[in-house]
Order: sequence, then C-alpha cells, then structure tokens
Amino acid sequence: MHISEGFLPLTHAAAWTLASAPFLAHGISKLNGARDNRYLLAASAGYLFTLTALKLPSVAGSSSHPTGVALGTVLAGPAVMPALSLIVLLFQALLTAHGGLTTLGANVFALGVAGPWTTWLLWRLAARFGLGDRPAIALATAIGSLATYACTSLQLALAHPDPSGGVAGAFLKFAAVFSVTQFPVAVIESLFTIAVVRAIVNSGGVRIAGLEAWAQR
Amino acid sequence: MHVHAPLDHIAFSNAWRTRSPIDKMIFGGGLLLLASVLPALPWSAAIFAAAATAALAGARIPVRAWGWFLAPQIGFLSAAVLPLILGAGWERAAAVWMRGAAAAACMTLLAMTTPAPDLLLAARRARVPAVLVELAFLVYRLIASIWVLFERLRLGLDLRLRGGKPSLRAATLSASNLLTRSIQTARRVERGASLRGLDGFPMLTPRAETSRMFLVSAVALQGSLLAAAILFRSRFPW
Repeated sequence: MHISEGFLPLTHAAAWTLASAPFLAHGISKLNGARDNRYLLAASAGYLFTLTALKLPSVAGSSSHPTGVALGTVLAGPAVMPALSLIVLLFQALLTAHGGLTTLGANVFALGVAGPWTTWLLWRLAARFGLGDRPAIALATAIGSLATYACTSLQLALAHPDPSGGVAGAFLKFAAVFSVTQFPVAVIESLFTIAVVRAIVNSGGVRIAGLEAWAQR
Repeated sequence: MHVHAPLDHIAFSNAWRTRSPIDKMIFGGGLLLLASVLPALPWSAAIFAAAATAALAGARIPVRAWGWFLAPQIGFLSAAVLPLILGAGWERAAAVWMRGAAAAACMTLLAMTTPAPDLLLAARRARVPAVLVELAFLVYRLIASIWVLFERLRLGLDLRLRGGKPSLRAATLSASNLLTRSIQTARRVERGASLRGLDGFPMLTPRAETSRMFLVSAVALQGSLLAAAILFRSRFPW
C-alpha cells in the first residue's frame, strides 16, 4: 500500500502529513507511558517491517502485501500504531526503497491511523455483540486491511482525479485495481492473524488485553 | 545476509560518509523538494542527472549498487502510472513518472550516503521526541536479527517440506514462532544495552561538522535549477 516517492503533489503530501500529526503526537505521548514495554513495541515494529517487506507490485501507484495492521493493533493498541508505522515506514523507505520520504505522512495515515482504528473499532464492536474471539479478529483484520487500501485509493484519487469521473471515478478505478490482489491477501491475513495471535497467547509470553481467556480454550 | 546489509554497507563506506548528515539532507532534501514542485519536463531529468552525478561521482557509490537500489523503485513507478495512462492520459502519466523517477534518485542519494543511525541522531538534535528516536534505534538493531531469524525459519521450513509449498498452518506456526522469538530477542537486546549503560542512543557515530563550501554549492545548484525554471516558464509552464 505504500505510495511511491514523488507520486503525490507536494500540497497533498503536506496535507496528509498535517492530518497524521495529531495522531502521531498522541501515539508518542502513549509511548512515553509505555517505556517498560519498549522491547515489545520494538519487536512488533520489527515484525511489521519484515511482514510488509513481502511486497507485490500493484498497478495503482502502490504495492500490495499483508499490512500487519491488525496484528500490530492487537499487540500494541491503535493509539501507538501511528508512531510504530512512522518508524517502520521510515526504515522501509531508507533501507528497502519501499514507499518514500515525501509520502511518509500519507502512508502513516493509511497504515497507522485508518487501518488500526478500523480494526480496533470492529474488533471491539464484534466482541460487544457477542461474536466469538476468532470471528471478531478475522472480521476486524480483513476489514482493517481493506480500510488501509481504501484510504490509499482515496489518497491517490484525490491526487490524480479522473478527467471524466472526478475523484469518485478515480477512487473506484484505484480500488478496483487493488482489490484484485488485496481481497485474497485480506482473507489470508485474517486466518494468519488468528493463528499467530492464538500461538502467542498460548506461549504465555505476551498478555493481550481482551484475550486472556483464549489460551485456556 | 540480512535485508539492509548491502545498503548499510554502502551508507557506512561511501566517500560522503564523513560529511555531516545536515549537509546531505540539505542537498538531497532540497533536490527532492524541487522534484516535487518544478514542472516535470525538463526539470525532473535535470534533477535526476544531478542526484545521479552526486551519488556516482561525488559519493563514489558503485554504479551496480546504485542501479540495484533504484531499479525496483523505477519498476514500481512504471507499474503505478499504467492506470493514469488510461484515466488521465499519457502526458500526465509521463509527468508523474518523470517526477517520481527524479524523487526516487534523490531518496536513493540520501539513503545510500547517510546511515540510518546518523539520520536518527540528526533527528534527535532537531528535537524529535527522545522516546521515538530511542525506539527507532532499538527497531533498527532488531531488524537485522529478525531478518536472520526469518531466513533461518524459512530454511527450516524448506528443508522439512523438501522444497514443497507450506500449508497455511505451517506458515502461521513459523510466523508466530518468529514473533515470539523476536520479542525474546528484543528483550535481550534492551537488557544488554541497559546493563552496559547504553540507555538512550547506543550507537557510536562520528560527529561531522557542516561544510560551508558544500552547503554553498548545494544551494547554488538548487538555486540555479529554480532560476532556470522561472526563466523558461513560458516555454515549460508550471
């Protein structure tokens, strides 16, 4: 989903950076209160880096890959995800030429704000409505992953509107192109997230709020 | 060999290694800014040429390594503009491609001449919150270890399956194994660093002073490009 360097006009890049800024500031303030869990956050960020490095080119100004958003959100919470995403995206731009520096703000918004908050809200809503842990995580992961790509499609559509269909027409085009690769990836990622979260909970090494009872089932 | 070994090696060994990261950020960042605002034709080509010359002749980065890092970015960019050809027309698609290629060359210059720890220390000096920079340092150290773990797990899976395709169960078991081991490694790295009294910014990097000559040259180059773009505005409209 990372938008390539130079693909957004400077005004758009600046606007998305400004939009990400309050979420990032909130995330950094949360990091200050989580110094004891720094190793867990660092491991989550390193893991996200590895997961999102497995990229597939996509003909929509971007690339497709497992987002790792749901796993990061479950492990670290949605509030710190903008800060973790910033670190992951910065290293991906500098070390693997994935994404870019001018597009960092837009990519943080998609991967660190839109995806994690959608995942978290759906996860909590599903749990409140009595959906089991596994279906709740599967649903939240799949929709959260698609929300990340919908956000990227919107960012691209706003930057490059269709001459006839405008922003809406361009959004549908970008989203349609992404969906070819991203729908199967979202389904696989939801199964993958369930299995990984279950294994982690069972290992007893990490306590995940809301899933304490899962290990015993 | 881990994911960022080749790039790290070059970033730590190029001819601009001892230059101040501020010098390199002003040079590369200024060109990147110009690539984003100036008309694509012909200025993107000029910016690409300037960034390439600085990387290959100035920082003496091997051509092959430079091309190896830049080629995937150009490949992704080429795939990216295909929907624009169909939607917005080839002229707009070509402009986006040229601008993207110039921006990629600028980012390559910055990434290949400045090691990530230097950039993080510069970010700290620019008052980026300490907690974010400390976490970034820890992640930087961990990425190498996690990638080695990832390669070992993948090799183990390949050997067990004798080259066959892993099932979803096998793949997720490996992935969860990777995460739990990553957490253990992170815990050890952090504990080791704090026992050695290295809490905070445990990387030794030479502190280089900014060069007035280098900065004047960088600003002169960027100013000339901007002046030329304004001068030829009627022929190449913004």
